[in-house]
Amino acid sequence: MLSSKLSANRIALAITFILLLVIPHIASSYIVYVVILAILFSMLSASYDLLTGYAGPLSFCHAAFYGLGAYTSALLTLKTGMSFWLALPISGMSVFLFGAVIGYPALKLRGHYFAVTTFFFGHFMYLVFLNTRELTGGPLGLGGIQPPESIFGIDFSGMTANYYLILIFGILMVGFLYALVNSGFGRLIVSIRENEDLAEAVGVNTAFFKVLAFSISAGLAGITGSLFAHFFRLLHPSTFSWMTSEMIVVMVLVGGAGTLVGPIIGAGVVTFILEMMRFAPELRFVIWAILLIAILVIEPRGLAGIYARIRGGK
Amino acid sequence: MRDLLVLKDLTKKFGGVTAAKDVNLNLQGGMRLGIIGPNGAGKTTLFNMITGEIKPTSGTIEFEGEPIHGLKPHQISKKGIGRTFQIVRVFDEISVYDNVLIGAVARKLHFRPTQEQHHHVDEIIELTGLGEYRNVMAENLTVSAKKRVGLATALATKPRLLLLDELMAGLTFVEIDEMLELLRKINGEMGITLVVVEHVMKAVMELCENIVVISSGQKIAEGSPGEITNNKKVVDIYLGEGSK
Repeated sequence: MLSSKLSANRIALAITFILLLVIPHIASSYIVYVVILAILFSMLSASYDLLTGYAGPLSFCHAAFYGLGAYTSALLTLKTGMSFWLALPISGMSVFLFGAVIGYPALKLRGHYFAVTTFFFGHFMYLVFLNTRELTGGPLGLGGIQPPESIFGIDFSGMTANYYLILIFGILMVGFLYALVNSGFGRLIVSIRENEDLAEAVGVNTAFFKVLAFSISAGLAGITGSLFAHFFRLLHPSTFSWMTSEMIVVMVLVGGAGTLVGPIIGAGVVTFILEMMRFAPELRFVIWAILLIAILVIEPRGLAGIYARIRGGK
Repeated sequence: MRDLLVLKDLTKKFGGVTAAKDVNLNLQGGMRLGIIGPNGAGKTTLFNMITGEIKPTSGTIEFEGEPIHGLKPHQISKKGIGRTFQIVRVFDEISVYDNVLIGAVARKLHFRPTQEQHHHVDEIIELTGLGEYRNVMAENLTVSAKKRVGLATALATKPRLLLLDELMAGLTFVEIDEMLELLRKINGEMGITLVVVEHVMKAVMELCENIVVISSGQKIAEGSPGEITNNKKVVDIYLGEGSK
């Protein structure tokens, strides 16, 4: 029984993987574009899951770190002529450090207080992107961003090369997160989610590990932002507003928080629903709300929970 | 022999309420000490000061000759003091095995828990009789089993001193006897010093070599179980003055 479950999962994984590999060759460029968005959102929700799904604190500012990475990377390449290949790790590291600076005081708060703080911090960062016109171009956006410089003879000005670049980073990031949540560190942050006082009493430095989870989660969002900036080549503050943060929260809840694979599927599902709803933009938010409420009522553990119920028969 | 734990003039005030007043205590390694006293006497406050959950207003705590007052709970746990809680606490939504493993991983973090750590967890699960619940989610257990999970997780941190806060409360007589046997093993075979706060007198009298009585935040008596049962002050506090 167990082995058949495992092999079913493996087959699903293999099919997904093959599909992802061949998509640029069989689908229209519009579909490829949507899949790129879905991969970027998968990276955001998977990195968000490390903090909220595994360590516990509910955060509403993931898009702020996404934006910070995007603007850092874009500005580094635009203003200093730095290569994308250097700007990407530098933006990731900067956002990681910035996350530590923000997380250290903010995570002294617990529960709702922390959530509300991140909500306002997210909005604050949006206002910073919007109002530092000399740097970010404000509401006019930041254009002229160059695609990644070609390496190994691969030219990144087209859609297909960017697709594979982002796919590779997506797979690397998910692999990294998978290793992390299954490591000793992963067990310690889960103990904080389950019972912070008990975790502290058995010797877990809860303050430190919460900030570390927060910073890693932020840094990975920063790397995703850098990839987005050089793929989309135009940044606008509204991309990184609280609506995006909320969307990431919805993706994670729809998929199933604390499962890693759930949020990735959630990101895919939500991205495609939103794209299909393009003909009626106002309705998108209604659909969103209904989706979220439906999931929370039917199965709070999300799609991953529904899957577990079907497979496990309970 | 040097004392394992030394409390010196330990005082805790919550606003106008004095929960502990000038408590002095010397505890030798390997002992089984009981702390008893009426409800609200300050027993849990004493525990919380030793484990760093609350900071003493004044006074000092030394563990193995080192001052530990002012340290955070996780630092004190790493020094070798484990505890269980009066209101049972477990990591609810993970398995019993993972609960205990967290104790081991918290003690020493490796990127992957080592074979030795898994081995240690297996031994503790065996010792505490949790084998059948190994893969059960902790929140689905009975109170008695949860208490053993709490104890097992504390043991996984390899403590030299274990503070047990009302471990027997809510257990049946049979379960109390089993728990007493387990505690004697932990003390005798593993050499872990025990301090128990307990309302179940039978358990304290059977288990402990030494008993401290606390009332209104002050230590009013200390001695062997025999001495304590014949102490007039203690009898007055428990049964009211003039009884007998």
